[in-house]
Formats: sequence, C-alpha cells, structure tokens
Amino acid sequence: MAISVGLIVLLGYLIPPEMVEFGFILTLRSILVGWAVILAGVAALVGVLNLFLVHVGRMTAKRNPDRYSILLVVFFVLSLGLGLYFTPADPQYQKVVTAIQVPVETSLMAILVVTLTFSSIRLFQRRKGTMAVVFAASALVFLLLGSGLLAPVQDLPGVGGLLAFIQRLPIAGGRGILLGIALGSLTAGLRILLGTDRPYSG
Amino acid sequence: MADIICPKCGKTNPSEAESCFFCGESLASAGEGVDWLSGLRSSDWQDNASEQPAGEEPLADAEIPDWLARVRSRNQDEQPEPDFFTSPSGETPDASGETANWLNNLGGTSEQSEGSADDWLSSLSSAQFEEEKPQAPIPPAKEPSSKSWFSRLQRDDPHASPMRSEPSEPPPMPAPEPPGPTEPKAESWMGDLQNWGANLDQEPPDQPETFEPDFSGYQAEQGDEAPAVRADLPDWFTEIKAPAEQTPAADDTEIASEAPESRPDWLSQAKPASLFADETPEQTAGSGEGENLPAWLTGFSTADESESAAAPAEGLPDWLRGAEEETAPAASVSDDQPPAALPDWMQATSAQEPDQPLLDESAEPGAEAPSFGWSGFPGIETPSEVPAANELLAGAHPPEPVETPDFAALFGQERETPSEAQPHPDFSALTDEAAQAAGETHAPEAEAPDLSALFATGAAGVAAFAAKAGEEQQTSEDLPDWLHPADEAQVDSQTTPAEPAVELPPGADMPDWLSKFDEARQADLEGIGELTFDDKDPFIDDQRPTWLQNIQTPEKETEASSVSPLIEPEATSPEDLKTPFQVELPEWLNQQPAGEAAQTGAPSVDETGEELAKADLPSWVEDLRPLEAVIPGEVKKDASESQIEKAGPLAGIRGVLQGEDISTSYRKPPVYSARLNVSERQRSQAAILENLMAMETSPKAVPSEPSRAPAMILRVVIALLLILSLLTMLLPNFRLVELPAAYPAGLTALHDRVEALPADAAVLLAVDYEPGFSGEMRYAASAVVEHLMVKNARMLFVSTVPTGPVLADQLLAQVNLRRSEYLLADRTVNLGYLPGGTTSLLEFAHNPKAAAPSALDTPLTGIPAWEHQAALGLNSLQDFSLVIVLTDSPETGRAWIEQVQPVLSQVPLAMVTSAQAAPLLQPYYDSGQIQGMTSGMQGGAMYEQRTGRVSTANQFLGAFQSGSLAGILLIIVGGIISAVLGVSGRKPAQKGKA
Repeated sequence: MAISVGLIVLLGYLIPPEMVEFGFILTLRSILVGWAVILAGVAALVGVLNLFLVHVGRMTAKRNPDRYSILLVVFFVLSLGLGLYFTPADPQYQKVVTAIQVPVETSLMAILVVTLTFSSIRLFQRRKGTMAVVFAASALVFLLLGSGLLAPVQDLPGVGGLLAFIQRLPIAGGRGILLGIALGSLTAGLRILLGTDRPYSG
Repeated sequence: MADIICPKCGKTNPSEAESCFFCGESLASAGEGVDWLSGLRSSDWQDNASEQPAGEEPLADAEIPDWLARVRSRNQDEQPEPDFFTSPSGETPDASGETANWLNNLGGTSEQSEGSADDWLSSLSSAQFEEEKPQAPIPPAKEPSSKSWFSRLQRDDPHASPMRSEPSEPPPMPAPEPPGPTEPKAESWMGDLQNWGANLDQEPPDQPETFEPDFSGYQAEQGDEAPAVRADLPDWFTEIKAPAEQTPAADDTEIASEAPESRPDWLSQAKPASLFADETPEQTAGSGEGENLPAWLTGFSTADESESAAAPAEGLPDWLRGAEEETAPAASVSDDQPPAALPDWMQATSAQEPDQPLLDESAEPGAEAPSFGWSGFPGIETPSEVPAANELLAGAHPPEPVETPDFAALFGQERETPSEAQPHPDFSALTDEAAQAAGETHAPEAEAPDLSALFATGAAGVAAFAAKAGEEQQTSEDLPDWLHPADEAQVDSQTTPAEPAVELPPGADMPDWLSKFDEARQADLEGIGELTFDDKDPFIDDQRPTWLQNIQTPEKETEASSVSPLIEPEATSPEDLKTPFQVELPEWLNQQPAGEAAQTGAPSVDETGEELAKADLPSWVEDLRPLEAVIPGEVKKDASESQIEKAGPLAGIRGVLQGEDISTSYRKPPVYSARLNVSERQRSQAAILENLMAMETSPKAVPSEPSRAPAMILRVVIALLLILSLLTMLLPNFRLVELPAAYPAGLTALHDRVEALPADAAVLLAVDYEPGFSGEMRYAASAVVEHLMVKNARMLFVSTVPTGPVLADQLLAQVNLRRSEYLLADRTVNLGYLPGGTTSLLEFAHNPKAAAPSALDTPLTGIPAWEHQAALGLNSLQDFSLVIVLTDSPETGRAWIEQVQPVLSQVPLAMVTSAQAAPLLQPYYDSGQIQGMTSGMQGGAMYEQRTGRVSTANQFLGAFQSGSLAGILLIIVGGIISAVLGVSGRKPAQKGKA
C-alpha cells in the first residue's frame, strides 16, 4: 500500500499537467497528498493532545508533581480556549505569539550568542589542537564576513577575491550537503518504493 | 632407692613393688638381683668401698669401677678367700691387687646370687666357695635356657669331660665370657665354638689330664648344692659341674638326652652330638678323663700338641684371638707380679708345672704362673694369680696329656702351619682379622699379645699359638668385627707392650682393649708393684674396648645414650628372646661359611630346626651393658639417684629426691627473640606492601568541585559586553563599517524582480520562519516588503509554520508603519498556515485554493481567502507575479524549491533567508532555481541601500556590527587567556598524576 501510494505520487511528478489522459493519476496523487496533509494535520493534533496528556499526568502525579507541567497545561488550555474564542486572526490573540513566543525565542537566540562566545573562549582551555584552531579561526572569519566588518577591504585588489573565495566556501560546503541530502532522500525513497524499508510497518 | 627392673618386660618398677606394674611378673627375684645391681650402678661406690672389709685393698678398689668393687666387696664379705686365688707365691689377690677386677668380683657376687639365677658370676664364686653346701640335682625346670648356654657348651663338648672327671678342679674359666660378650654380640664369639668343635673333630685333645683347673668347688657344688643354690648358679656353670660328677658315659648319655631346647642354638651348633660321635677313637682315648673337659679348655691342650694339626684358623673364635694377643703383654707383666687371686683351677694349672715358664724369656718358673690366656680378657691379666690357669696351661703342654679345653685345643688346631720360630700364640691374627674387618690394615710387626707369651711358656701348644702369629694374615678373615679396633691410631697408641721384656712376635697386633688393659696394668705395676689390676674397667667410658664398641649397633647406642642404664628401654619381653642375649649376631657368626659347616657336619640352627629357647636376659647382663654402664653422663644420673640422705627424717635412705638438685637443675626457660631475621630486600618489600595498604585505607581526597563563579562571572561579562555593544544602536547613525558598494547578485536580482513587478501584481509571500529568527528575518525582509508596498503589489501570505501567519501580520504591520498609504486590508490576504507543513506545499502548488481555502481573518470577516479582494483572479500559483519565500531554514527553502518551484513555471521564485541558511540556498540561486536572494540583516540593510530607503536595517546594522565585533574580540582574547591558563593549570594536574 505504501509502495503503491508512493509510486502514484511519484508518477504525479513525472506526468505533466498537460497530459489530460493521465489526469486521473494527478487527481489520485492530489487525493493521496491531501490525505497525507490531513494525516499530518491530525498528527499535529494528536501530538498536541499527547503533549497535553503527558503534562497533565505529570501535573497530577502523586509524588513530585511537575509544577511546570501545570503551567503548560494551564496556558495550553488558555490558548486553545482564547484561540477558539477569538480566532487566530484576532490581533489581540495574535499577541500571544508576537508578545510571548517571539520575545521568548528571540531571547533564547540571544542567550545562545553569549553561550557560544563563552564556549569559544573555553575552547582552547579544553581542547588544544589544529581542529580547535581551525574552528576558532573559521568562526572568527565568518563573523567578520557576516558582520560586514571586512567590507572596506573588499575593494582592495586581491582581498575582494580572497574574501569572495572565502564566502563561497560555505556555499560549496552547503552544496555538498545538499547533494548528500538529495542522494540520501533518493535512496530512502527508492528503498521504500522497493519495499526494502518499511518505516510505516511499525 | 633404686627401682627394680622387671626381668620380664624390662620396665622400671618402684623398689617396694613386689610384682611388675606392667606385666605382673613377680619382682622378688628381680628385686634381689637389682639390689646388688643397684649397688653396682650406684656411683657412690667409693662410699660402699669404705664399707668393705678391711681385707680389701683400698687402692685397688679406688681404681676399679664401682660395679666391680661391689661385686668384689660382696664376695669378700661373705666368702673366704678362695683357694684358687692364692697364687703360688701365697699372695692373695687382694693383697697383690693384681687379680683381675672382674674375676675378683665374680666371687664376690655369690651371696647376692641367691635368688638371682641369672648371675652366673655369682654362681661361679658360689661353686668355688660353697662346697660344703649340699647340692641337689639341678632341676631342669629352674635352669633358664638363657643362662645355661655355657653349661651346655661344657655338656655338649666331649672335651669337657676331663673337667668333670676331676671334681676338684675349678670350673673352666669364665673368662671366655667377658663382660663384653654379654652384650648383644655375645653370641658371636660363642658361636665360634661351633667352629672349634668342628676343628676338634680333626684333632681331639690328647692330654686332657694335664689341664686340671681347680673345679673342686664346682664339683662340690654340683653334688651338694641345694636346688635353691643351684638355681642361683648360671646354667653353664652348673652344667660344668654336673659332668664332673658323672662318668663320661653318663655324660654322653646326658648330652644325648639333653633337651635341645634347653640349650642355646649356638651351643648346639658349637658342640653337636654328631660332632663328637664322629670322633676318632684316638680322640676318645686321648681325651680319657679329659673328655669331660670343656671343649674350650681342651682346645688349649690340643692347641699345644697339635702344632701339626693345622686346624683351620676359622675355627678360632675371634674374641679368643684377641684374648690371645692381649695375653702376651699381660704375661710379661706377670713376671713381676705375685700370683694372687687366681682361681683354683688356674692355680692348679700353675701347680702342676710350677717350674715351667710361661713366658719365653721373662717368665719365672714356679714363682709366677704364666699369664693364661684369660688374662687377656678384662679383669684377668695376671697369670700369677691364676694358678689353675697355670695348671691348665701346664696340662696343655704337649708332653703331658692334659685336659685341654676345647678352645685351647682350638687354639692349637687353628694353626695350620705352626711354626716354632713363632712361640707366641697367634692371637694377633684375631686382632688383625678384626682390624681387617674394620677396614684397617695392621702391620705385621705389631706387638705380640701377652697371651701368646703365656702359651709359649706354659705349653707347646701355646707356643704353637704364638707361632701362629705370623699367619695372622691368613686367619684374619675369621676375625669378627668387634675384635677390630675402631681406630687405628688408638690401636697404635694402646697396643704398646707394657713390658719391654716380653718380646712380642713381629707382626702381632694387639687389640685396643687389650692394650688398654696392658696400659692399666703397667700403671698398676708402677704404682703398686704387685698384682696388676686394671686401672680402669674395660667398660669405663672411652676405655671401652673397640670390639665392644663394634658390637653395639648404632641404634642401640643411641638408645643407650638416651636412656638411663638403670632403665631398660627395650620392651622386648623375655619370651621373645630366642638367644641368650637379645642381640644381633655379628656377621661372621651369622654368615658361617658353608664349607666349614659341611666340614664340621654340625647342622646350623636353621637346618636343625631347633628353636632358641626363650630365656630371660639376666638382669646383671642388662646392667652390665658396657655402653650404658660406662657413659659418664649416665653414671652421673645414677649417682644422683643413689645419693644417700644425710639429714632429716630420711637420713640414710638412698635415692631420696634432692630438692636442691631440682632447684639447681631448674633453669630459666630460654627467651627467644621475637625479632625476625629479615633481609633488606624483604624489609623493603614489606615497606612497599605497607605503603600500599596504607594507600588503600587512607581516604582519597575528594577533588574540590571547581567553582562556578568564574564561569558565571565570565558569562556575565560576556553578556555585559554584548549588551554594551548593542547599546550602540541608540547612537544615531552609528556604524562601525560602511556597507560595501557592491551588492550581492542575488540581492540585485531580487531587487530587480520586485522593481519589475507590474502594477497590481500578485506576489505570494511564504513566511516560513520561526519567531526566534523574527528579529533577523524581520529586518532582512522589511526592505523587500516595503519595496512591494511601494510597488502597491497584492500580497498573499502563506506559511508552513503555525506561527508564520502571525509573524506575517506582524511584518506587514511594522512595514506598514512606514508605508501607511498601503492598505493592508485591501491589498493583502493572509492565507494562514498550511496544514501538514511542507507536505502540503505540493498540494498548495497544484491547488492553492484547496490547500488554503480560508484566510486568517476569514473567521472574523467571513470572507474566504480566494474571494478576498487582493486574491481576485488568482486560481493557481502561476497567477502570481512573484513568489518570495521568507525562511530561516534551508530545508524549508529546499522544500519550496523542490515542491513549488516546478509548479510555478514562469513565475520567479526568490528567497529572503537568514544568514545561516544563505550558504545552503545560495547554490539554488546559482543554479537558477531561484531568481533572487538576500540574506540576513546585512542583506536587508544593503537592500535598503539598494532601494534608497534606509530604514531599520541600517539603523540596527551598527549595533549588529558592534555586537559581532565584541563577540570576535571576546573569542580571541578569551581564547588566548584560556589557552594560557589551560597550559598553566594542567601542569600541576599532570604533576599530580605523575
């Protein structure tokens, strides 16, 4: 079943929309992808429910109840209720995200900056070697490049090319990563289609 | 009091015990025997000597050992001086002091021999001095087999008949049985009597009458002595007497009828009936009266007259050889000594031929009896004191048919090639043989024994013995081991002839023990000038003869050395004794040559099947064991036991435990050092082990947890520096570095694509970034959104992230602040979140209305998304003029490229990404899959500069640059410090590990 669904969806990518005679395949693919989207939505709902029940269990535990779970459950119910009542389009309700979630996550990123800086300082205290030096040097270089602090020197002859070469290094690495990801995704798809792997069999 | 040794089990019992505590044997007889033996054992013999009659010579007593002194004192106390001890010169042996000690003591033990049937020595004296006592026939039952060994010898020996025929003669000399033979090796020399008997078959004694020792006392004793008295006599002695009263025929009958078990085997072997049955008529006739003479006595006569008999030397007992050799110096001494204390039988021998010199040169005829061969034995050294022996020797002279003892005949028969040139009897051969057995080599030119001289002067047969001296090498093979001196050096030192007047035949060796006697005799002669008494008993201490030392086995010596002589260590019961002396026979006796046995025709003990009669070892024999008697240490113990209490209620009692002895003998127990003898290496190893144990037991110091304060301080410092760096945003137009003039290609393409949008173009914006990246993405995308607002494009927002629709509204609201003329409600539609995430992108790409049918504000406005004014005319993605994906994730950008971009067809796809996602999405721009791209705050600022509308991105770019610079500086400085501190802080740790 999984293989057939996969093959059908795969065929939908290969059949152009202009080929009306193979339109049923596109329709079938759309239905299957719609089922997948619904299943994904339900899965998110199931995940939300599972998270809620887990924290309810921790909150109601007879021994050492988790106080943070109480907060989670309370605010989950509150958000759900307010969202159902106000709808997500309500600007006041959207402040739940913009006034709470965005600053929280942004603050986490700020803390990450301090932590990474501290770790970079302790790097040479814990690890000594070429890789540590390379790592520290690359971090510093790309910080300089990313911050634009080296922009004045980019106009210098030879420096601009060098900086451009250095800026392409992560792109090259990213391309390689993308190629690897593509090959891995292709292989995983083929294994599933060929029945070698059955991740859905449980 | 001395304890009583049980004659049966040999264990010590209290003196007051009537029966043995261990075996129940009656100790009456044993006690009597012990009494006088205890006196012998006692070391205070000097005290007892003072109790002796005044007739005894104190000097001699002082010199002689205690046991001899006791025996002699008792003898003199109770009995008159025997006649036969009277020397031809009329001197008593006591006066002369030349009487052999042990021989004197023989007579002295008579009174104590009553009730002690073991004491044959006492019987000897009793037989001599108690002739007046009625003698009853000897009850055979009272004759212990172990004690009748000698009597059987006499009885079995046809040559002993002359002695029996002459009751007045003294019994044969007990000298052939010196104290030594009473030791375990006693049978060895007696066993040689068999050989003698065998030799006698070839050469019977011719003149038994000539040898007539004074056995009168014994004859009277045999005839008159009461049974009780006879019980005291040793069997051999009673047997000697008994034949004297009988006729030869009767004697033969008696011999034949005598129970074989009543005599020891060795005696049976020595004198079997068959042996004498084979005697030639000449021998029988020759023996005549002398056929009752003991064989050993007859041997003298035969030896005298049978120079041509050439009896094999093997027949001569070894001990006699030694005696013969020892006699020579003794005979030489006898010249100067008055004959005294000689037994009757010896006196008779002397009297028969008073003028016949016993010695070749120095002997005085008549005045001094020649030193008989017995003098070679311990205690008998003065031939002048032994007239009977002289008579015997005289009788052994060839011209007169004497009653020669068998052994005397053997002496003569032993000489295979008698030589007159060698007048001395060849007793040295015995010594040599003994020495040869001991692994020593005797020089043939050694001193000749005294006994040889005696024989030479007394009889030709004796001279034949002396002539045998040159043949000692031939006959030395028969010498037993006990005759060999244990030490050759000792032999050399002790075999020096006492009298130079006596010419010892060259090549004659003198045994050690004979030399001792010789020396002792010389000492006596020098001191007294009278009869020679041995200064030291042959059993005293190291003066013990070597032949006696050889007798004792090492095991016996060990036992004897550890056990008191008064305590019999052997647990062997008398019933187990199969021989008269429970000893090991010497090899020369056990290994009787087969040829010799065949020659003599005497069946061996094993062949005849005769069992040795069980006999009790006489207590006096046990007590006289030389080894135990002569050990000084043991004697010392005896002295302590026999010490007489002189004060207190126990005064006069002997053997009282001495308290002071115990106290003095007590000594402080040794204190042993507890210090171990440990080497340096062991000590070092022990120290290492101790250190290891200490390290294991000692608690390990828990390393202190490093304080978190420095890290926290450092983090706070970092945060403060970063915050301070960000505070630069408050400064107007603060910028560390100006943006480069050249814009990235992707930015320019994106700008151009936006700038090229037609009017009222529909642009699809996918807001797919997380709220955490909203700060970067907001400043990166605000310039693009503002540019779209400038272009008055319709903007539809969709998101695959749940928070995306809200962030999209936030972004529009922020940009709308600067472009308030742009009407968001009319120009924008928020399609909301696509359920399923990226999974729904394909569906959204193919059917956007189906994938996102409602807008975010649809619940509020009730207007479907695709019916919204801004979405009018849009049915698919190809209806859009531009699709811009705002994402911070390469995966989301890749999903849009992979799922939506193929569907867009001619619709360009551009991306505004975060700085971290740009490197992964830049290849898609380079490949043309996306047509415009900008990334990060710097990209937003540049896009602003590119549009000419410097806004928030450039406002916060200075703060961003300062923050980045602060971070870079912190990493560099902090890294260097950390590296330095790490090196300096690790050294102590490494040192601590080492």
